[in-house]
Amino acid sequence: MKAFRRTRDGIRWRSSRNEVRLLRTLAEQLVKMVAPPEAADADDWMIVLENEFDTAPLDRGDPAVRRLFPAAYRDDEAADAEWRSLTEASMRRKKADEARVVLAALEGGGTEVTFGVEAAEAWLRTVNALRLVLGARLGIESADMAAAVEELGDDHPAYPAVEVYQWLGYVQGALLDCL
Amino acid sequence: MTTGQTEGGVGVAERPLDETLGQNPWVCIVWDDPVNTTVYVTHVFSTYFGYPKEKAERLMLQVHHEGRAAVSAGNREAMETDVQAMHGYGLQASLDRQ
Repeated sequence: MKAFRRTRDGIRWRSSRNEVRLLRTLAEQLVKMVAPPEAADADDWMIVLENEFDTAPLDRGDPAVRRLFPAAYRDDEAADAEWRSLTEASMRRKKADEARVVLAALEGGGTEVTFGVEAAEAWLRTVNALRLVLGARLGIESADMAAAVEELGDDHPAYPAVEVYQWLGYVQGALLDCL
Repeated sequence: MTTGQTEGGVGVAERPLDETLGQNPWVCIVWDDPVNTTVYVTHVFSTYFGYPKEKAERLMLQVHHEGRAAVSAGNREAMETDVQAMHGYGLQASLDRQ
């Protein structure tokens, strides 16, 4: 049975309770990781303005953060810093908003998850971001390391994370198949 | 990229080289990485750039086998837009001069 199906209402994900719970937990963590702080009162333009220029910096010591927000200029630090200052806040908001699209569809915790076709890209991109985060945390930086991770035995401490990493790849592939 | 399949092929820039050299001094480079799947990368190239499936696959294969590919060319501002879009999809991308 296919995991994702086109229906009259959009796309239906036939999932298990554990899958829904897992994806929700991961998407919530992604929002926490990337979202700039919210304005306390969005109607107060001063607060909005301050937030625009004073977002909590990303933890660039985290390999997952570096992987989600890579350099645009590899050989020019000054140009990269300038590019980052102009784009990072909106990139963070966009990634967080896409994860929230997924979270909205998971609301309620039922196993018949439905979302509109227009939400499919947000799903693909969020599932991909989660895979990148896990890949970075697992230290997958080369094809050899990717292959080595696949070989880990189920008694290895990283095995559960590898299983989630592989499952995210399966979910993404199944959704791409359905589009 | 990660895949169960084997591939081979070469990629090409979007526009003819003589034109890109004069008017499009910048390129958007996509780099190979071991996490993004070949199917997803192909999807990104066809969705974002509107490339036909064959061209999207050819560029994906070039990234996979050569480690990088120039996927678009243009002025600096346009290439910054493309790089930002690639980052939005989770691809490793950077700007470079031709």
